[in-house]
Amino acid sequence: MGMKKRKIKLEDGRYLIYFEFDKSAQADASGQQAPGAVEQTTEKGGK
Amino acid sequence: MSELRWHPILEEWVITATHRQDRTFLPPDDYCPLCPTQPGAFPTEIPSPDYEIVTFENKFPSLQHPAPEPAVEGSELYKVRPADGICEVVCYTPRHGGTLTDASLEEMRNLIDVWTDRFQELGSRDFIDYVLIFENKGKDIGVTLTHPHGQIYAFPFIPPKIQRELESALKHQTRTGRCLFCDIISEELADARRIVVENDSFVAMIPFFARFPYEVYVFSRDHHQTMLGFGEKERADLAVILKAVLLKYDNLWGTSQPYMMIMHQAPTDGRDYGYYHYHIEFHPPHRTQQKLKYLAGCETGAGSYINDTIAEEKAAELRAAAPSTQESTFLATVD
Repeated sequence: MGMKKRKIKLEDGRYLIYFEFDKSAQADASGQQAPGAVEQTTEKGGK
Repeated sequence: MSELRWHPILEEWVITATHRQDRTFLPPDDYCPLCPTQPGAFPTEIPSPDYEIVTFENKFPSLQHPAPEPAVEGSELYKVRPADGICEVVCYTPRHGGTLTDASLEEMRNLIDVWTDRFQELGSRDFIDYVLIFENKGKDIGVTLTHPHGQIYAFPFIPPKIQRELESALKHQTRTGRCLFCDIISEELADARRIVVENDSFVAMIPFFARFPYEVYVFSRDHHQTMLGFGEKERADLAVILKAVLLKYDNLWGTSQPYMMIMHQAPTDGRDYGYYHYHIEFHPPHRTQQKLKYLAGCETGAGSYINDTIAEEKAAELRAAAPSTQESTFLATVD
């Protein structure tokens, strides 16, 4: 499924993330993994 | 003030968050803080004039990062620690009216992707041990905002109910060599009286041991610990079964059913919880259309639940409410 993330900082310092979906990927009824990158907007901690 | 206070009798953390007393409480519809911000109108929490799904840090968080130092001094008996963690709000839709039941399968499927993303990202933080995805729906539950939304609490500890489930599952695994939850699914499917709806990947039931009259558990048929193990087919099937359960709740009495929906997944503290099994719990507070099930003296005071109904009868009621399993399968093909 195509999904993108757009992360912004609010005025008070909190973050907000918009999730946007690729409509053309959703129309693909093949059931396969649709193309579309997930934008990595935050760092991952190591565990 | 916000801190974790240790309950030495129950051996669990209590979150204090006094700033939450001032949070927005049932504002008028045209001042909803979870709607998109329209040009010239008052600024909501979401600055864009439109969105599909949005998540953001809760303005009135129970847990926050970095957390303030505790306002009180602890002792050996009364331990305190910062209420470190993350609380996010998930707005399902820009549409103010309606509920998650009104989401199309496509929107539900998108939400599952968002939940999966947030679980992975929040769970990867080194100070987070557990990620709880949940929704409180309806004024009977005590919601303060009616706009369709859920919440995510990323805890710095494993919450006590989850801890108890983990201990039960580990004991069962050690004793039998099998997954406790897989055994529950097998026993419920063999009996069949408490099954509400099912599809290729998930089974929804009011289990034998239900504590609320209409308490539905949704189990993945395959043994997954978290959503991260789901493939495309399972994500699509989860959207369908969630939609089916929500429709059944609303069709039961022709009303919008209030509930608490809680996703139970393995902790994210880096340990191996291969014996745990993903599931979603629904706890609707109604025991009839007009009457609420209160957590009164026996439940709150002793932790012992009294269910005024039996699961076999309540499951039959929900099973009879539309859509049926066959109709749910059809739903998946026409949405």
